Amino acid sequence: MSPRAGPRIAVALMVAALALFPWTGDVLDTRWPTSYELRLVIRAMILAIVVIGLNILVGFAGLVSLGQAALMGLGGHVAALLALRADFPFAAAMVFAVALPAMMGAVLAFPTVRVRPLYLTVITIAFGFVFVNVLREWVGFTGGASGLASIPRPTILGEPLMAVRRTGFNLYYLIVLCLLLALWVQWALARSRYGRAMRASSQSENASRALGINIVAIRTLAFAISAGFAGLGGGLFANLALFINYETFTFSASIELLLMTILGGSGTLAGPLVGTTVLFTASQALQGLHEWQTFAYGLLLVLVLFLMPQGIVGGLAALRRRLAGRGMAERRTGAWPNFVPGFDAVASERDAAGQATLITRDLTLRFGGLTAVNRVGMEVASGTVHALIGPNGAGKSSVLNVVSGFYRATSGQVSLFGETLAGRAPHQLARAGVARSFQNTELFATMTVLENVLVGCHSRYRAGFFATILRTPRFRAEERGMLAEARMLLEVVGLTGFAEEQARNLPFGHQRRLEIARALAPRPKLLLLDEPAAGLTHGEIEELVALIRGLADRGMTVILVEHHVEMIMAVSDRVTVLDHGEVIADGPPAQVQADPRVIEAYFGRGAAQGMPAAAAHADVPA
Amino acid sequence: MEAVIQYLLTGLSVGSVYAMMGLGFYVMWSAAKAVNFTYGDIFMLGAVLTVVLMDIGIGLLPAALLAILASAAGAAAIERGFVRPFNREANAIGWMLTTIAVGTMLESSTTALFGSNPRMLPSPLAQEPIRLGGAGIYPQELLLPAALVVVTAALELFYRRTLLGRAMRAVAYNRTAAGLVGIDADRITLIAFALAGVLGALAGVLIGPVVQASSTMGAIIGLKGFMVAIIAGIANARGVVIAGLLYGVTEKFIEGYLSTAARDAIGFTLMVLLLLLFPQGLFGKKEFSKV
Repeated sequence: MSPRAGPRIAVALMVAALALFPWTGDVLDTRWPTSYELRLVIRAMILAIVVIGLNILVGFAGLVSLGQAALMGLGGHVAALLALRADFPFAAAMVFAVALPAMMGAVLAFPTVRVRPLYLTVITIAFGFVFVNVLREWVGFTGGASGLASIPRPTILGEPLMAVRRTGFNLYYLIVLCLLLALWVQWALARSRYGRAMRASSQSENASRALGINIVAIRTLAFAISAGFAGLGGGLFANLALFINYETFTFSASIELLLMTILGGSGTLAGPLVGTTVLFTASQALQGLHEWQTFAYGLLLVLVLFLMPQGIVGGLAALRRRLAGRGMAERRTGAWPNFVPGFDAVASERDAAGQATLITRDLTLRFGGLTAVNRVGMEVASGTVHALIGPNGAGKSSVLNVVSGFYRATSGQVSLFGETLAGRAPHQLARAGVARSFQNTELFATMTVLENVLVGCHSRYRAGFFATILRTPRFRAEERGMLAEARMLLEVVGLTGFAEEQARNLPFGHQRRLEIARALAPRPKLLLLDEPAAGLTHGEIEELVALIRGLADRGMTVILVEHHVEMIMAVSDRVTVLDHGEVIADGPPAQVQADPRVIEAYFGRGAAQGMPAAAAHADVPA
Repeated sequence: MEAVIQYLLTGLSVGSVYAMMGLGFYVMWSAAKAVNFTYGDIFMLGAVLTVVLMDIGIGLLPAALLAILASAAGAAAIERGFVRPFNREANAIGWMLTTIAVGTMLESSTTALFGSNPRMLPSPLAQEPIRLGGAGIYPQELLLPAALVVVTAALELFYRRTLLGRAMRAVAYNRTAAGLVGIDADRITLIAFALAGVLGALAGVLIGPVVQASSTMGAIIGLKGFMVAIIAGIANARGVVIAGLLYGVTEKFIEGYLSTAARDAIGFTLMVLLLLLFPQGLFGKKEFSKV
């Protein structure tokens, strides 16, 4: 059985069960299910739609909303009011019931997620309170506590929608369809660059930005989608009950939705269905607890978080992984660099030979009173390896961070690829052709090795959001191409055997390799490596040198921050030496190595006098 | 004119509560880069426990003191049991969920045990309103801004002059480095949450006689305290105090000139707009994150 068969069979069984459920009575010759049970199943399906949306937010993007019930209520009230007050047909009202909450979601997300994900949670709680408050007080518009009653029965093409035998349970089947649609979107998202970017941004903001992901945009998108699903659920709810008021959409309802997400297993595809089913069933039992019911939800949430933080589905998957992991063959680490035939394409975006890829003039960076970088001018020619060295605290990494957009220069100019790119954000520079690695490797820890590289391809996709969700042939061809290229890059760094392994499980040296493979995935023109040799063995460093030379020979420009002198001498075309934020030497490696000021910076005064190369300048009194 | 004075005075009074709650969030956030999300329930416990203790015959002041200490102990227990184990990684969100869950449990169990009806918290300062330029106000309400001034000054002194306070600032600045010089960052964080608990419960006790004690009194006020801290720029104590007072006064004017129903909707919208204009908060500096 292929590994994908399991989920497919499960989905087929679920669809069959849902399709047959209303007719169970005829088959078994009983009066079950009655309209009451039918209604319970419908309500559970509606909740599942909302929970799927919340799962995209919590499980993929790592954001928490506690206003999800209010967004559902917004969708419900939009649908109800448009039908009641404006005579909108069902389908048109539903479009607005999805679109308005989605827009509201974007409005709430944009100002908050760009500062701190936490703020989104606070704002969503506030939105929830205000929403209920407005509905309760604005009696003339929303009916206050008595709500909006006698919502006209929904129709499609004149056919009334009801969950009864006479209409063939058409409303029931419509809601089944919506649930399947939600599952499809969730699945398509998870297996696309959007889902990967969401997960990446929740695991390492810096690495995501360095790979061209606009974190604010991707998080806003995640919340808009999640709010849209909440609105869809709300709209269906209003059209099922034909009555709506604020009491269904309070804060504790939001907690219940969150509990369903976590209980099922946030981030898993089946989690929302399992969590909704389990908790919805339990809540029918818990209703007898009256005022202690909310308490029970709180307690349950705490227990789940302590005992199975990955939820039911996540916990089972982890268990299965552990069982399957036993007796598995040792993974083979390939030799690297392995410049496979297709590799030249990675450097195909290179600058014209002889052009200056990077020029800085008077580049200065201050943190308060501390000047980290002082009037640095350097020029990096395209297709060369340019080393940036200096003692600790000399400002090397700061220069790298300015060039990649993470720090904003206090003054001075930076021009990249012949353009002045001052003040651009890291993701914009990444899209312009800058890639980087980090001093402390920043991998997407719980994503697989292959997914890590695929995130690197993010900015090269051309298929838009809807093409991706619909999985058009064009999108699928593109996805296949990226997948092939990601596998090729893994082959180059010898990690093919580890493709499906979670990045956090890799040994340290392999993590460094993966980070370089990921940095190459956007096909950069300029690659910044921040101490790539730190922690590597002697043999690994030699392999790294071969890789860097191979990149430069193919036309890529590499800036290397490194301490390892032997490596610098072996790999660099030119070396710039920084000390206390200033350039003290610049030139070919051999010349810089002999420079007395460099020796002094590294070994202190006096040391320089003992060095034979510096003897000619030794007449300066000590 | 009378109305203006009235709104101003009551606004400063309720604003002091928001400011104290905001300070509590500031204290927790600085130490832990996490907060007790349902800090409003600590505020609620301050008032409710005072009422309960007075029921069994304890006088107002000792009851208030005991209630504040008990709430602070509860706040510390929440840190130890529900924040610390879920705040181990950089982008952890577990503490958010656990504290929300605990808050729900606190609020619903209080409703079940204490009753769902608000109860009087009798105070001699909330019997007879006094007249100030035509505006009527309870002395109890004037006590709040006074308490805020004392609390703010004491907090400032604590952070600057005491060893413990300096250790707390060190932990806020760099947890690892603080650990390297021998500061027990975990213990400091626990104390910070207890300190925030004192602030929150004190605010609850002080406003209790004006708004009555109930299990649900904390939710909205906790939320507003949090929003005030965010708007101010969560790492700036003075900013939090100013923003809290401003928000309280603004709210009273909206209430007076428009309606009570519009108050939270407008206040909330204002906050979102301010965050849109000042992502780092009104008084916050651009945060520098090392790459």
